[in-house]
Amino acid sequence: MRSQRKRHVLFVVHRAGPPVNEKQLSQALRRSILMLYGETAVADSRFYLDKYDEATGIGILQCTSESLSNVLTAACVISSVGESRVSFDPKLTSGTIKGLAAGQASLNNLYLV
Amino acid sequence: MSIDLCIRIDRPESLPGFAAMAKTLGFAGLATSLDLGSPSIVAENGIVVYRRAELNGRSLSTMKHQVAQVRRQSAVVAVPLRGADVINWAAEDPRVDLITVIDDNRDNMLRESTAKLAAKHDVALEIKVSGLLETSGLDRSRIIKTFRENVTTAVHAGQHVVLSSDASDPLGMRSPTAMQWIGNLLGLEGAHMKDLVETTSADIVARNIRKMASSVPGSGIEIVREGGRVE
Repeated sequence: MRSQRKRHVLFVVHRAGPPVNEKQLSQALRRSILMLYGETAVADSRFYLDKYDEATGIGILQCTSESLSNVLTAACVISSVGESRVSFDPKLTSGTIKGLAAGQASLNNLYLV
Repeated sequence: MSIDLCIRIDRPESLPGFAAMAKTLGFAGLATSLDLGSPSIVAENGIVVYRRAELNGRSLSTMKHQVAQVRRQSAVVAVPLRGADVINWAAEDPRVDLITVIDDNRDNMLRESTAKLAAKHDVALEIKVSGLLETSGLDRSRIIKTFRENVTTAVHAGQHVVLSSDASDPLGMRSPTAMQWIGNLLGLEGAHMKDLVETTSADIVARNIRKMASSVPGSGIEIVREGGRVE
């Protein structure tokens, strides 16, 4: 199997309502990709949440480089997860998690973690 | 500098919540139809709030009457994409800034000739993304179709496109980066994606604020005072 280039995206989920847990967010993202682009797009995206802090909403997701625009577009049109209204905010994209470290540190400072 | 050109704020008490969200998301300003008492005010957190006027008359004469009344008090003037006579007028009237696509309005699509006229007179096409966020399934696919067809016509004619959130609550707002990805869904790519949230909205507001400063009495004429800066 040919290995595919990955992309890691640092994001913040702004919310109004109870905290959104990792499972809820992951499901909502997959459902949104499915709704907008179909079953093969979900399969090809190899979407996975690397890290996610439900208190601050800061997280890192990974997907294939080819599916990056589908994954982020689908994430940005999500308006609610569970009982919370949400606004998905992609901050930084990199080929490695390490490449997001500086961005994550500044976000953590901003959100007083 | 990114400005969200359409926020639905119904009460002045809601304004700080929207301004706080705008700052969090990285906007420099927002525009709303709320009566601010002046074309723009600065919120406590530094976000500039601009007054927006939406012309909602049915006939051309009503629209012309409305625009004359609101232009000097508003930083942004928008006309909904409806009948051909109204839109052809709006596309070349220097007092109009935006032609707004209404969700799922397949009867009134932007025509190539109108888009070319609008491009020539710096009237941008506005897409309100709230329709995409509040619907799903077939309802959303119809909206996407309408938006994509209008955006394609505008881009082909060289007309600027702006995305605004049309949010009625702060969580309905999307960051400039998120807007770029939503723009991607509507068929915008590369330079157009960046333009639609960073350049076009700021240019529209800056142009109108400059005009309202009374140093621009008409198109192509600017009074430059001695020792003043030529822009």
